[in-house]
Amino acid sequence: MSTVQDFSNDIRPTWCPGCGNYGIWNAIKRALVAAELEPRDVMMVTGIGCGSKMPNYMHIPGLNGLYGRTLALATGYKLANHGKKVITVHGDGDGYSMGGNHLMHTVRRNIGIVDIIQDNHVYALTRGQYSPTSRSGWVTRTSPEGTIEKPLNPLAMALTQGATFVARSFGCCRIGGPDRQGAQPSRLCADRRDAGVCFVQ
Amino acid sequence: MGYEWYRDNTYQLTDTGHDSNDRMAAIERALEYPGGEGKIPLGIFYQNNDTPSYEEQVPVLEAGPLADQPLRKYPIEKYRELLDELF
Ligand SMILES: Cc1ncc(C[n+]2csc(CCOP(=O)(O)OP(=O)(O)O)c2C)c(N)n1
Ligand code: SF4
Ligand SMILES: [Mg+2]
Repeated sequence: MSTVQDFSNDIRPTWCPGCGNYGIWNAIKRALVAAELEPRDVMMVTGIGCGSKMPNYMHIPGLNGLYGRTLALATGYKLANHGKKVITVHGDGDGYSMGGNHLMHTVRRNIGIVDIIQDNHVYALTRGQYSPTSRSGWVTRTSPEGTIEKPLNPLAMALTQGATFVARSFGCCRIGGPDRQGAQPSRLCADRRDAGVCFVQ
Repeated sequence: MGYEWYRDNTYQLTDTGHDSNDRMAAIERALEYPGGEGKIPLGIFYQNNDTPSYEEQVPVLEAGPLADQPLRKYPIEKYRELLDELF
């Protein structure tokens, strides 16, 4: 049986204090333990963005790939080594704009990847441009008069394109406590060992 | 928008009797955000464990993960033939 410690290393994340990525990070570690997986059973593929730095902060085989190509890399990895639990972690910019095409085809194909999108509705790493899920009218450096676009609905997109598991969680255990929020990602990994794609916003 | 905003503006699907095996109900819930006026639903919208995964249907993977399969399945001449066909 693994423990959360087995998935931890001693590198301190560069995330801001209070960043939602801490909650996602902890939920993933707890979910891996709940699924009785060892670090060697797992592969974490990420893109470019704040939260995509995650493999650096875990004791886990990982690949920090190219912006937008997270799911393409993970698909290749899964087909080359389908015995592994493949988890992708990437932002809304990575996952919906540059990588939106990969998302559509990953859910349509039902590839055994747990896809976790850290959807903060902004391009955070590059310092605050609006993203596909930003609210209309949001003022950023790239939208000084407010955004004109309507936000994308990624869950509806995934559902209509045939996704077989679709969930939304909030990346902070301070709300509702770990039992309510943390239980969802855990159940995710434990119940769906390899029965297809899991899309989690 | 901080944690407090999300605490006050989200709700759990499990508190509303949502059936996560019902795809049309899941789509309706998904349309609540963005687009709707109410709170943001959290939790499992949809799950269906009966659909085979992609990798379960790839014939070559039936023999186990590619990474564990021998690098050369056929004698090297066979690959040369394929190359000759191409170039
Ligand atoms: C091909 C390419 N285009 C653009 C960039 C610049 N870039 C790096 S991160 C990023 C946006 C990240 O936003 P998101 O995916 O939402 O992640 P977050 O930082 O918000 O977690 C962009 C545009 C890049 N690295 N590579
Ligand atoms: S800028 Fe990056 S590290 Fe800081 S709070 Fe936003 S997502 Fe987290
Ligand atoms: Mg983002």
